[in-house]
Amino acid sequence: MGVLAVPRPSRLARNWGQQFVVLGLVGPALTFTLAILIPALALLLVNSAYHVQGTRIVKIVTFEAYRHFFTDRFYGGVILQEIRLAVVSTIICLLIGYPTAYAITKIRRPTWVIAAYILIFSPLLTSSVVRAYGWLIILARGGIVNWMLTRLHLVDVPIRLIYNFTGVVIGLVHFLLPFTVFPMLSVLLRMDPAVKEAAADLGATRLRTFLHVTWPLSFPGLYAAAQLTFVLAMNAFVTPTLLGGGRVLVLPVLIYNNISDLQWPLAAVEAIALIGLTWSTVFTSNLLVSKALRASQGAPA
Amino acid sequence: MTAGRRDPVILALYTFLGLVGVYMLAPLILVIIDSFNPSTYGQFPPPGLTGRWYVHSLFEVPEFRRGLTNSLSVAAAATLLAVPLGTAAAYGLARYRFRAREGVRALLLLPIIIPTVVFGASVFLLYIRTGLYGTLSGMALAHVLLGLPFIITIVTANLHTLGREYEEAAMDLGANPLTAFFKVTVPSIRTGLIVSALFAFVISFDQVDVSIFLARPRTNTLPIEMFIYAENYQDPTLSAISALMIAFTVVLLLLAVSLLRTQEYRRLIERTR
Repeated sequence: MGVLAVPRPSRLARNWGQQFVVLGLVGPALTFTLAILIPALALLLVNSAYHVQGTRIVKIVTFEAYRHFFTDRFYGGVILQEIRLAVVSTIICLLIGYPTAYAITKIRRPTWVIAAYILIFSPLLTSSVVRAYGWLIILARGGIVNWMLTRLHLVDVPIRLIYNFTGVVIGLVHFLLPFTVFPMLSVLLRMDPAVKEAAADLGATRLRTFLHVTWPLSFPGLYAAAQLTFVLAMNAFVTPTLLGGGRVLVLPVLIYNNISDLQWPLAAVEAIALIGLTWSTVFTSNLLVSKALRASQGAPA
Repeated sequence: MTAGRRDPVILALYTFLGLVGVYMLAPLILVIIDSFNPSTYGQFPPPGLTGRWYVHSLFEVPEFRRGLTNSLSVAAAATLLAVPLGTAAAYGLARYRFRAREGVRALLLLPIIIPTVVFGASVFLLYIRTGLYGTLSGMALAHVLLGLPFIITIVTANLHTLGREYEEAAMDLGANPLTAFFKVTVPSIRTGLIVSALFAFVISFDQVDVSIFLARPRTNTLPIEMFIYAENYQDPTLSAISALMIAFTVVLLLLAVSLLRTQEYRRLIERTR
């Protein structure tokens, strides 16, 4: 019976004793989280309204930082740069990530599956500073990439690969790729092999099976991967700082700089803008995806 | 139907996978090579071999050693605090139904929905008012918040797979809920607990985006010291430290794998009996 037992609904915390138990279990973690998060976010809002005189924060509400942020064209440029960086990195991650995830699902021998997992996911365990620094070494003037390019006579003089947009994208894709592969992989692995076999039995070639079965069925994984990758790209701090060398300005970098320069109201406004940007992207993409999924369910495959 | 070994499509896919693997490991491998490079500018190929960057980073830069001590104590404190808190919350979420459950779950996951830099800046504004700024305990508390969502997610998933039958059997046999939890539930979800502890530790140990807002020079963690060093200098000292961090991570990973391995074997043996 044990294995086949139908999962019963979990205990309903109906009586007082049970509610007390729930409170005792969930309460500490919740109290802990909210006790820090709520005042911290409240202070972010409060500080965004304050006034700065030189390097002194005057506690009068002027909303000056908002006006500055929304009227100075510099910030518009930063936001555009940030979106461009996130879009480019996400597209590259998807282009690399999908075949990678697909290839992993094709591996038969368990040892090789584990090896592939370690290859793709182990960089997650090392600090982002180590990874960004690794790319600084690789892409530097005297680094291995420029050495190979000059040895192969593809270039005459070392090309500039760091402290610019290209360098940040290379480092960012490396940082993000595990997060792109993971959702795709979980969707591809959950796919019922019987569906593909059915397509093959009905005489579909492998290309047709891929295009008409596997590819459409992996859409949810693609959406999830794109969303996660994009949001993480928007929020990246270490990679743009180290590989951008101050030349690739994005909101997280500005927030840190402004906190350091005692421009807290401006940093707070930038923080609010970053939250707004990422959350609205998630919200609209969820809306679009659910709409698209509903539409595709009605249409024949 | 079965894809043979010489199938060109599969071969192409595997080649691609291999190239991606090279890309993923490249910065880690090059850091290790560079750590033995006598050239100060990380010239490639290295003109020779030296161990002096290790000596320099370990014994001549006090910031790195202090950073390491700070990092280890913060990560240990955050893990010790976050795992019991998260496990209790996960147990409450997985085993009880209560009205606000989904709301509570959402609130508990909030710290990872907020951009890390924004989280760091906001907690900084709080800490500067409450005197927690620049303290290691303040940093550990912030790291607990970052670890909790992962622990809760992992342990909840484990509890759902386990089911409640075993705990209930123990309680039917006269164990009180606490005994049932520690004697039945905890050993059964040990894999999840080990993985979540590893997550909590690594998240704290590698943290930069949040920590950099909360540390004074004296309380800088190792990744922050490295970040600052990387912004200002470029010599293989940082490669040596990075190589040591990679080695540390590998040891941690092997430790976790061996713990999990014995777990899996034990389960397998129990099943075959």
